[in-house]
Amino acid sequence: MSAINITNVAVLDNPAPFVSPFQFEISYECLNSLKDDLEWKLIYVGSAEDETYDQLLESVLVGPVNVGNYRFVLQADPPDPSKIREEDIIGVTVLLLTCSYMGQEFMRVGYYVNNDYEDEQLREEPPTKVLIDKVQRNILSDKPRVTKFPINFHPEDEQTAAATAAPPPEPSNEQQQPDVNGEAQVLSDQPPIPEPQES
Amino acid sequence: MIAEKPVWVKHEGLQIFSIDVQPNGERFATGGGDHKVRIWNMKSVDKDLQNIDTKERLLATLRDHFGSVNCVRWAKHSRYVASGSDDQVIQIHERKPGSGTTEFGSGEAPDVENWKAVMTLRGHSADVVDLNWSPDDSMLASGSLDNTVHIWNMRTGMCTTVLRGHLSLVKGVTWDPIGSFIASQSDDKTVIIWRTSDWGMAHRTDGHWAKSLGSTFFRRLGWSPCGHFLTTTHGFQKPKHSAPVLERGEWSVAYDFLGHSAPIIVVKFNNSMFKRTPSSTQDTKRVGWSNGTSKSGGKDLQSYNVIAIGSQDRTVTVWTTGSARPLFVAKHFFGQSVVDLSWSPDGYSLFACSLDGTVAMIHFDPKELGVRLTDTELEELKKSRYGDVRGRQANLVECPAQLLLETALTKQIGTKRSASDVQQNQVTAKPSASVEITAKRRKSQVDDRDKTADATTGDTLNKASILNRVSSPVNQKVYRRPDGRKRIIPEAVGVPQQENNIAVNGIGQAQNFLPAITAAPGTGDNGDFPVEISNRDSSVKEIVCRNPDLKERSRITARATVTESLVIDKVPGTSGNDGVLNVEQSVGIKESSSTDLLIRVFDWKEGEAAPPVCLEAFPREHALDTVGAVSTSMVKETEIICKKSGETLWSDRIMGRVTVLAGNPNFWAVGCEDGSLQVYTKCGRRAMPTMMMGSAATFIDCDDSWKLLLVTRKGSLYVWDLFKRKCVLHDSLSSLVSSDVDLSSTVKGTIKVISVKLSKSGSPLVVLATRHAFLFDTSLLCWLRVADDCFPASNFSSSWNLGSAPCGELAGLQVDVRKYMARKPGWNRITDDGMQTRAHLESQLASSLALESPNEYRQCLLAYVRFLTREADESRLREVCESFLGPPTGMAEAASSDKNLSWDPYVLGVKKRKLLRNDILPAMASNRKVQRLLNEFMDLLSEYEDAETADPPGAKGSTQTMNCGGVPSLLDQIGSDPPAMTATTPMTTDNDKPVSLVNSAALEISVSEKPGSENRDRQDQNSKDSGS
Repeated sequence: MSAINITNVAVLDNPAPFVSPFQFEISYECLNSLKDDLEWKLIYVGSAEDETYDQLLESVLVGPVNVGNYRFVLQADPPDPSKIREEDIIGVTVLLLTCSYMGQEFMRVGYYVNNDYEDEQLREEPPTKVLIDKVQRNILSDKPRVTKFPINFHPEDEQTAAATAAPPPEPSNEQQQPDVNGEAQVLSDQPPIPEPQES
Repeated sequence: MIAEKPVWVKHEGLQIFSIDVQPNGERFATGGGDHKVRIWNMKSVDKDLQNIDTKERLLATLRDHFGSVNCVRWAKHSRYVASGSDDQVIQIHERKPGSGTTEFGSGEAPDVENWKAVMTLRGHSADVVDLNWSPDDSMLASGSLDNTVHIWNMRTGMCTTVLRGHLSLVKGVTWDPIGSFIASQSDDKTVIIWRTSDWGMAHRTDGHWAKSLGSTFFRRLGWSPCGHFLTTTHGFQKPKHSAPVLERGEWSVAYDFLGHSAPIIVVKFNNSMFKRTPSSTQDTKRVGWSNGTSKSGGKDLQSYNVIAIGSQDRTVTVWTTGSARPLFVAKHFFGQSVVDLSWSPDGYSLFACSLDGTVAMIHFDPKELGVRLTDTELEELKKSRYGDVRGRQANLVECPAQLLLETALTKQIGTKRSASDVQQNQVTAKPSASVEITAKRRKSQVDDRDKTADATTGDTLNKASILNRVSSPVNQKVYRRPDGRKRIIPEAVGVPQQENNIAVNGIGQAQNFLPAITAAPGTGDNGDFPVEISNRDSSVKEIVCRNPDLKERSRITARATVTESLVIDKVPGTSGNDGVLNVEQSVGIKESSSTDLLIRVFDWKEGEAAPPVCLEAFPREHALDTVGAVSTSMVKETEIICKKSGETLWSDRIMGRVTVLAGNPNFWAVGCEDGSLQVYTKCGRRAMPTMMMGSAATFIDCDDSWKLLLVTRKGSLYVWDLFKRKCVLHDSLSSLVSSDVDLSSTVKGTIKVISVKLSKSGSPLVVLATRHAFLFDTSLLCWLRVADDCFPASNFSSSWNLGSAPCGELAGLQVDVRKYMARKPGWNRITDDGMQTRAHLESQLASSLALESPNEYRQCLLAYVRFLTREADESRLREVCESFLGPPTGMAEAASSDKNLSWDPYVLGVKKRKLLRNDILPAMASNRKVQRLLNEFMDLLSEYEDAETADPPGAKGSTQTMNCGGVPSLLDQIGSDPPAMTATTPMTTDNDKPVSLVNSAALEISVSEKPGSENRDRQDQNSKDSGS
């Protein structure tokens, strides 16, 4: 059982210019009080092929974690374009919102992000040098892909470390993700932790 | 017979491993290969009501498992559903208040019902395959592929026992309906019977399963409701697969259900037994087994079991233990193995699920299965065979009343826990509410939110979440931790999960946790007014309250005094002047006492519409220029004006600053800082010369007639009867100083007093800052502590403030104590060992008697008797009953009259025997362990009452009820009792004034006058009841 369930994530300020900060209003429900804070991270996947281009945009602690329904706004700076390969800026990539407890990630929400010029002319004839100020960022907020991982929220009062021997996690969303620009596999490639097992 | 296959019951087309019908018949649960537990509406598969809204079919989807759900089982009480999964854990789910939520990102519609996991049982190191609740729901047994059976305590969620003995995967567990055994079946081709008393192995059976080939998902064995048969699975008897049946006791195979062409995976007995309908008596030539009932009476009347068997050969068969042939064979229902079965509570519907991902329901007819035995008949049958199960199984609930009591208790504990959660939530909510976050960002957020809201309105899936969202900006607090990390305190949204529970169970409790400041004594008193008025119908009512426009200020005063405290200092051994009380007044008092004082008196004789008479006191410090000789020094003067609807009735001026006012339709009393007390008549005549108290009056109170109570800053306490001009009582609060251990140790003999007033029974009642309340007993001439915090663990410490809070005096005091305790840091609920609850109830009983609060006394007595009954504390119960029964009537006549006097047939105006008959004895019926005692007193009571009615009533009344005169009304009884027995409405305007008192080493407590006539009967009665 997960002590924390995300009830909603509202992507605020979307679509927005590439250089504007991210804002997510996250609502969650807590079924058991936890001693430690939750850690929420927002990760921008710079390149589908290479994990080293991932940018950790923000990491916040949220607490105290008591029983009830809560919400907060997670605000994060935009990714640093200088750390993204020029050819990867325009196009579809992924934004990951993760939640961990005591260093164990138990929830991951993936969003497809489409970066493109707002100006039609620029879109059709993209300049050789990316005009970052003109790039519009669009998060596909209605297609979140949620993956849950079993962790032990109360390790101290359990008899065995069940979390370590846990079976591989599975994505809770069984729906087939639509093929967005031929990059539908990007999400399942991304998690550094055990590969989700489609069932 | 009707059979149906609802195609909409599915787990995304994957296997359905388990199905179980809720024992109350409202829902059924399925668990499947999609890792989910689904809860379905039974109405949608009812054989009559097919046209239910399709949205109401699936009530909830539980996504807490990370592996295939192998087993779902409802507890017998229907509240919980347990599920076991490949992820090695067992989840316990419960329905929570509120509407269901949707899984974020799942794309599914929100659930109809809000089912949430409430407990996670971890301990198995491999897949959990089968589950079974104990007959009393207190334990859960789970069988796992780790070769063990775990026994879980369902109160704590802890694993109490691990049963090791199987050499291979355990694939089935079942609990003996009598509660003595557990049976488990394993891939090691054995069945083990475990004793529940010591968890030892009672028997291991093998052989019958040795020849079976192939592997099955489950080996779900089942125990018959009569407890006599244990049907196992996966047997083989050439050439067919069988379900061998073990007989209780011998644990040897009595017979087999034979005929399936593939291994049997699951057997399920019908929850009840059946008997033939009288019409079908022609079926006398039944062969087979008759459940071991050797009672004669014709085979037709014998009851039999009904069992369903599911097999890998994709068929379901239904048998009765009265016939060698199956009653019913369901072929071609499923495309793959049948893996689980469940009977509806009425016994006529069978639910089956299969690995092909479908379920089937088969509804039978009484003509087909026979007539279902009622639960009582089944109980009788079990009883005749196994003796009274209750006697052997202390754990089993002994009767419905017992169960009710238990649930009441757990409810209390539950609310307490949740209430503290709420408190936590409030605490967290508060800081977040006071947070400022840059307004700019706020604004942009609002705009964005509007946008997103617009965008998603069409999306039905997100509707619920939109509803949840408040349109206001998120109130969160963001700050950097010392280590530089950003931390957000989130905004609490909506109702916390458990607050609804509280709303159901006790609003009163939630109020306890309000900050104490809102419940400062002054305002609390105000709240009591209407109740007191409605409770009493005496002609004259007196009410003291504050002018509306003064109210605000006086409330502030009340608050200030709570924090700045009323202090009576007792510093021992500092000065040589023995027995002299020195007085010091703290600054706080001076400030608060400089405000204007005002009281109002309503004369209820003139009807409710009559305007109240107000008495006001204004300090006139600067109006002293005219004074001749003493004008050099600053003389304080106070103007006292009595008004009625704006018209001044009379006015007067007195020297010094007025600290307290009191009044009723008979007189007015004004106490000054300099220790003088002036009593006026109704029309403002000075009725008496100024009385000198030696120190400033700090608390004053009067009753409806002529009694006036005064406490000086020195801690002296006076009660006068102004009509008779007689002191009724003179004592000191000093004994309370030493009695309050807490404070005297910390602040060197400091005592903080919140209020002093006359209780409803007319005795002085002091409430200290610790919220301990003391009542001066005029008979015992000492203080009695009637409310304290000695019993935090008592189960009853909370029950008081639920319903009784507004009406009972004692309950009010108790609530104060609890409020105060709840504010204290480090206050924890300790679990009770039973001792505290009893002690608490006993002291409550005695306190309510001392306060003469008949309703509370009765309530408390009831609770106490119930408690003793549950504990089966026979000696105490006997004493209580005896004290209420009294000496035998016949003997009373014969015995000496002295002896008779010691027993008063009335307690607080209620006839003791009536209490005994109407309250005590019925309460005792809740536990059969004390039924002998109960019977004894029932007999005695009826005997006595017979004798009583036979006696001439006059003679008895004169001998037994000296003081009461046989009048059963409290008010009348009180009225005939002169010293301290007048009904009052104890209110003062100034009972929040701080006082300080410094005392020298030897504190002399002098009682100027012994209280008037003693009530011997009451005293006896007090001691007797408190002792019992």
